[in-house]
Amino acid sequence: MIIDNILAAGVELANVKTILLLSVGVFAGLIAGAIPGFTVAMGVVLVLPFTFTMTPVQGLSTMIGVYVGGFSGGLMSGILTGIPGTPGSVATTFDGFPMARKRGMPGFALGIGVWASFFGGIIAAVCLAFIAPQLALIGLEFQPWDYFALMMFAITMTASLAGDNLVKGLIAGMIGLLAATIGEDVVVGVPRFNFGIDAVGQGFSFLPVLIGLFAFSQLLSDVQDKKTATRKLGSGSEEAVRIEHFKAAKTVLKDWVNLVRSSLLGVFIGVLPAEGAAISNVLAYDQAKKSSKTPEEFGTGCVSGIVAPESSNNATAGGALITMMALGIPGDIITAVMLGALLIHDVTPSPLFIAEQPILAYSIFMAFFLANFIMLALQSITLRGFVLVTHMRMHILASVILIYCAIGVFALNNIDFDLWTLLLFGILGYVLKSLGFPVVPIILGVVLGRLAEDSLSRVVALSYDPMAFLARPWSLFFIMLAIMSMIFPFYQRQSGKASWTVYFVPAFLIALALPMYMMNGYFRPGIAVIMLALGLALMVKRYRNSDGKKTIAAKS
Amino acid sequence: MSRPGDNYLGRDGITGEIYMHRLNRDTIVALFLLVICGVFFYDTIGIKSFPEQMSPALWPRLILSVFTVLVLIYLTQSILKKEPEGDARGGFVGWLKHYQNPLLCYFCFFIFLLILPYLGMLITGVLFVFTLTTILGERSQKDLIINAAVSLFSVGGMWLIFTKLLGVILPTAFFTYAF
Repeated sequence: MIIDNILAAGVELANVKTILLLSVGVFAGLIAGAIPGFTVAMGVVLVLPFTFTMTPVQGLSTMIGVYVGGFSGGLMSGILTGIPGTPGSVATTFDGFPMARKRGMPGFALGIGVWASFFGGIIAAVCLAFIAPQLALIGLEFQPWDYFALMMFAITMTASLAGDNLVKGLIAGMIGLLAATIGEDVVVGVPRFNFGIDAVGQGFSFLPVLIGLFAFSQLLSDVQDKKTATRKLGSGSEEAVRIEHFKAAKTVLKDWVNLVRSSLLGVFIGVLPAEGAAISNVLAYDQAKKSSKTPEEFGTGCVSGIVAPESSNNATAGGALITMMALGIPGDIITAVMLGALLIHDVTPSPLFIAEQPILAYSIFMAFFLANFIMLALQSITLRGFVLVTHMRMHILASVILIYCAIGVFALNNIDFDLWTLLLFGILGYVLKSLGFPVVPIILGVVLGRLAEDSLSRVVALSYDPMAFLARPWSLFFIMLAIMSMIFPFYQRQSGKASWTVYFVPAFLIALALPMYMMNGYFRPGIAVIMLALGLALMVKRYRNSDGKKTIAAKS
Repeated sequence: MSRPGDNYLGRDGITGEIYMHRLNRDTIVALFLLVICGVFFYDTIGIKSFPEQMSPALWPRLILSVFTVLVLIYLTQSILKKEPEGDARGGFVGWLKHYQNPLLCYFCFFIFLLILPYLGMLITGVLFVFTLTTILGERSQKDLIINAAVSLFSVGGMWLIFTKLLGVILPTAFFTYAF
């Protein structure tokens, strides 16, 4: 069955136009990712208007190309200049830049980064093709209560990780959800919050809201300061070096344990709804250092220090796609944009998506797989393009991108109102960012708002009892996760300082054991019993340890 | 002990540093958000309901309820927060100087939207890019030539891609109708 779907998807993808679009996407992603401050998400957002006239397969393939290329592009800037091109390449600079500058091996450093990205992406592609359908089968168990709780968990998780202040993150999420209610309601089409303006009665289109909140505000932040606005994108000292592919590939494969571990870590973090690659690359680096026999070499130009972050950031892309494809929930902002793109093409991702549209689903898997090969082939060419682009000044790039945003937004519906929406949300996004509110939860709220309301309407149609959210195992599971995700930032800050933090992990295990025990069958309740036992054992152990420490402190 | 001129200010007992007790930027933002909550809540009263269906006002009210609670927490945090005075950027003029570039961008985009229906996307786009690059960047003769070339080629290129390659209809100038 899977083989049949893969073959059918292969036929769908194997036409010149689709491969060309995928390649253009990878190229654009490599350049976008290489420019510090530009971000992969911006690249995907800017490609979106081009995809309107394409088929869903072509449009998604192009965006996936940008996605894969973007994370690999970040290493170019990080290794050659010490400035990460994307947040997903921060840890790459720790060893990539010293290897390039201090050890004088820029070609080898780039090669390691490129091949680590490639293998990380391939591992994630395999996980995507096999895990997503299985996760979708679990998703088929979800009823409207569970789906609603999942979306709320996605928003709380993103809010808790997006910024420094949890309350501001949650407020941002609520702003996004509220913005999605403007216009006609999803059930009966009653106009809401139009305040007498007919055009607003239709609601705001997703694309101008997204581009306004994210791209418009980001560009204005980039040109805010007169000095940064007129500076060149690069330092001016970048050179197109020759990547040592063969030597690098061999070296990366020798470090296969680190490679596989970092890739799987990246996939796992990508599955969780949050800013995946920004977290995964640092975590993978940290794990690689802790597991290494020579941790003192990290930071001096160590091979493992490049393999870990670059394999994990590309693998995160695959993880985020798993959640999007299997559950219809975006794993990061980029998959949130892709979700929006699918909605524009009248395709609604959900647990039924893979079962109902297998060719489209497997085309996306294969596009992700192919994109990694194309990335490998294009990296050397893109390096020359990167060196040229670094001579451009920020204010010129920003001005050109702003007009491109306007043209792209207008192309969606051919109405002036979308351009005014772009301006309005551009102002809103910039103001909120300046005030310390993260933009990602707002975007997630806008993307998920109508889907959440749809789920809630089904819940209300079936039963008015709010206790049903606690009585259903999956719903309770996601509610527990949401609560834990809100406590997590406090745990992070107080870890090692406050005594309650030692009980966080065991409490987390015990809390999740309850809904798992309520699930059908024997496997999950069995896991629940193990989790409960483990949680209780950890709790007792930590209590005894802390009691012992108090006794020693009292005696001394 | 308060000193003359301390009005809404407090003085840290250890460092002697002056801090604002109540009214700071976050407090103003929180109060503004509360007003927004109130306005939207009031608007939900006028939303029609239908029997046997979830009320279209239910979901917005749920969001607004949570929103209000969060804003109240934010307001409390802002009031209790000690923020050293001296965050001012030289008053209104200083504020304008600090946000000059973004304000100019918004203003240019606003003008762009106003004249778009008359001059079309191509001409208005070229003018927009040229004006913005000139305002934000240097204004030597060489820079002006570069800005003009960039605006012509970039906007022209985009216009060609969208209209000829992708078949998208973009607004045209009023005088083209005469032909």
